[in-house]
Amino acid sequence: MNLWAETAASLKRWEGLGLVVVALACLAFQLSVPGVTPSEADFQQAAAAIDQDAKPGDVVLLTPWWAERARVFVSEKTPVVGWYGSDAEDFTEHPRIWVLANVKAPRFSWSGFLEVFGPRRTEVGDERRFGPLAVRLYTNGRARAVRFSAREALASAKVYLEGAGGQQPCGWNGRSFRCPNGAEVVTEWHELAWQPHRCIRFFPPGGPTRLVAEFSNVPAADVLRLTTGYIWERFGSRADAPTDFGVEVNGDVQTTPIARGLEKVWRVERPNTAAGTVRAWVQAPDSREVCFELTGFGPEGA
Amino acid sequence: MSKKKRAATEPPAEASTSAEGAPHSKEPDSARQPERASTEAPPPAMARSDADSAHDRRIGWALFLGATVLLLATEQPAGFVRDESQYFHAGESYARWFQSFVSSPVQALKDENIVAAFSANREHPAWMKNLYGLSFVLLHEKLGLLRPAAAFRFPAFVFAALILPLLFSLGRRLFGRGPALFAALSFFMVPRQFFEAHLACFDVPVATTWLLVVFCFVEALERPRWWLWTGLSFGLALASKHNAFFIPLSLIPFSLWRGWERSKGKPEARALFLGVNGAFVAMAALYALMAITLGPRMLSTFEAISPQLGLFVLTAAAGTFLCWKLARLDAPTFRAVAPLVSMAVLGPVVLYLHWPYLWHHPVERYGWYLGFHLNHEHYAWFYLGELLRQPPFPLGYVLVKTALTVPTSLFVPMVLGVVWVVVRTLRRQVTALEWVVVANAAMSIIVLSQPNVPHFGGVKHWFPSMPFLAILGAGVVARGAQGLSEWLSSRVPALTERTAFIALCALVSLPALIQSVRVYPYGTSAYSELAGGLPGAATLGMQRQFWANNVTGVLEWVNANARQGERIYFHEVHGGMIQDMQRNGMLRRDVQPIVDGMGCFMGTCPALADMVVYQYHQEFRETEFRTWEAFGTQKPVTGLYVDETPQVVVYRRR
Repeated sequence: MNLWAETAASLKRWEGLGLVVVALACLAFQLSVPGVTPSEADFQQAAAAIDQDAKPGDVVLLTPWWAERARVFVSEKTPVVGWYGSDAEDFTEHPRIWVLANVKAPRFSWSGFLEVFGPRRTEVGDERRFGPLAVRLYTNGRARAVRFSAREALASAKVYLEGAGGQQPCGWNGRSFRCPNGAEVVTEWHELAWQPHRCIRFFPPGGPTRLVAEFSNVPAADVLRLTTGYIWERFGSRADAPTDFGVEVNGDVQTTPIARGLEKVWRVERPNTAAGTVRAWVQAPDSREVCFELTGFGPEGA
Repeated sequence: MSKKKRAATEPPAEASTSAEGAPHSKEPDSARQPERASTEAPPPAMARSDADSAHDRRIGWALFLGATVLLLATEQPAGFVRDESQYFHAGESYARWFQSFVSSPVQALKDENIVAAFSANREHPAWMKNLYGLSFVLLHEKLGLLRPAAAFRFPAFVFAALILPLLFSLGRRLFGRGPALFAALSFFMVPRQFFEAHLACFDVPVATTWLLVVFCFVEALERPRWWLWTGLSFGLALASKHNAFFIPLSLIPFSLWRGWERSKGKPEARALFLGVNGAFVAMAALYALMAITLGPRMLSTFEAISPQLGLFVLTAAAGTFLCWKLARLDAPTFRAVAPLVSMAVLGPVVLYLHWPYLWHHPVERYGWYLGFHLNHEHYAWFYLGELLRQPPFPLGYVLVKTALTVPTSLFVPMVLGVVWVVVRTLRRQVTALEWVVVANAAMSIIVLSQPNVPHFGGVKHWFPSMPFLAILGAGVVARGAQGLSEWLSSRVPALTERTAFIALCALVSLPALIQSVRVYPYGTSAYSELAGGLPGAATLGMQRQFWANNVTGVLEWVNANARQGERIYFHEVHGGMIQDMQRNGMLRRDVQPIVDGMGCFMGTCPALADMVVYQYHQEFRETEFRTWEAFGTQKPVTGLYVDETPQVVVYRRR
């Protein structure tokens, strides 16, 4: 038998062994998959555990991010969040985070999760297990006290179109502002880069005219954060020019060009803003669909 | 020259690269391939006696009938995919035309009547839709044997079931009966393939017809008249789906190489062989010249009596004439080249004849059909955490997607099978048939990997590769079993090669079977062990469903809980699907369905509804958030969660 024949014979044996190992590993995996599925009782107990100790301002973070079935069971008094990449979010507005994990899910590991979620978070109490579900409570060291929220203050804002002809006011109808061009300015749920955002619908009217929301008596903030972006898949438009989003604090303007063609959440922070008047405005050469949140935060850890 | 003489006189390289398979050979394999040591070659195809052939035919029939019955028995849970309802509608429209043709043929043949019937879904040739529609008329309307959907789908079952005996026959030539049987069965163990085998669509039928063409081509290299079946089956492939345009690319090299080899030392045969090729090369060159000189006028002036059509007719006639002369002069050379000529001539003829829509304005309407696919829009597609919307798409997409969806215990042998052929090529031991199989396994994958080709639709667009990969995988399983048997038989005498093979087949099949059973009928959501199953794929950021068929998973709840006349927005479902669900008894008729295009679209529809049946796609999340807004809640009332991943989520207005 020549060298090749010997090698081939040996390879056949290893091929056979390799197939046995692969098949057994696959079989083990397939048999383990049913263990991923929590029972309804598991979900109900986990939801009850959260509900019992939840406080206003808490949030439930799903991990893996797609484990959405929990929404059916968790009380609505505590918001439930989970999207691709949500493990790494700061959740600045939430001082405590309930982590609801399906620990049996393939590709899930606590260590991998904690690597991105863990920094500046502290576990409170013990983990509780309900079948494959685990519930852990964390204090959120990345949280900040909210001193101002544009969406909460919208009703008291002054909203208008600002162009060459001066200002054209938009009227408040108890729920939203209606502008002379037919646009509506209202707080509602929208998708920015696949994430849910409760934000202010703020569509630029097109051309040089700006849509403006002016907020008075805004308190000083350690950080004033603008969160904005194109809604859903409305990032494409005819003109190449970006949408300009301006935030003026007592006349000091900072403009963020929101590039066309990008599915992205734009977050721009401005440190140490003084109390006074804040004007948020948007302008684009053609019609775009944009929404925004503007939040003033106190110091971290508050 | 007899085969025996050839085997005895040809150099080893020639012997090892012959495409002859055992079925038509009188001499034992060892005589034909003296270079192959038993450890070096794949398990040799066994020479077959008449009794063997009869037994193989019985196996083939059993595979075909078993698969047809299995598909029929498991049809009902398979939801209607978005395209399928359009094909139901088109098929019914075509069938009505055939009925009118029987009752008043002159009237039916008028272009306006053809257009009225065949404009529906003119994006695809009519062959399968003709069958779907006629099956519906016969099996549902006339005989009342099947529910409407099953009647439409029945021809799809037959075409899918045909893959098994074809795979068996082709695999039999390469690796023998056992591996061939495993190759055939393993095709249905891939959950996405099994699911889509139920659908009245075209992806599985074109995989069948592609395989049929290759099978006929291989037969035609050795047997008389099979060149004719090759041409006709290529016509059927073209009539099934446009993937078939690429079949010749994987066969031309073998045909030319074989013709060159067979005409060696035969000047007259060589001259005719070159003449046949020259005729078609000249045709291609003249068409290219016309395209350059005439520009768009080439198509606009391409009529029934025009130089453009004349060129094709003349070339076809010249090619056929030269082939006819070649057949009389030298049969081996003729058999090498005749299948291709047959494909070139009969393919377009079958395509034209089967599709009434082309009859009055063939070029203009065919041009529209081609243009539709050359300029196909791109749908959003979630892939490794990135939402792909526009080209260029990742080069590795097709390979990665295949690796993450084909059960790993079947995928690994497929990969090793390709590697094995490469190694044998380097060792100059490869057979032409092995390369034909590898080339056809690779062709669709290579074409679909191009970064500018639309990348939606899961793995279905390269289904034609999968039967060939199944054959290569089966060869590896057989070789592995042989290796284990040789290694262990001294210690475990009961472990014969046959026992080891059966045990190994069972072992690699079991995980795939478990997965298939668990995920069915949500086949578009199936992911392999390598991905970590569907949950692992979700974590990786992969598209976890498409085509809207998973909505069936919540219909039982909707039927049980919807109020009389309740307005229900069925996200991503179109009106045709609603009609089909209702006429097949899957959705109550008293509810008021709202679908996109009925006064709303996506994000604006929830506000009109009392219940929203939302399909969880990364690119559609705005619709879910608009539902939260419209209903004042983020809490679903129920949903379809496959292996815990959300597929269809149901919200209800408070």
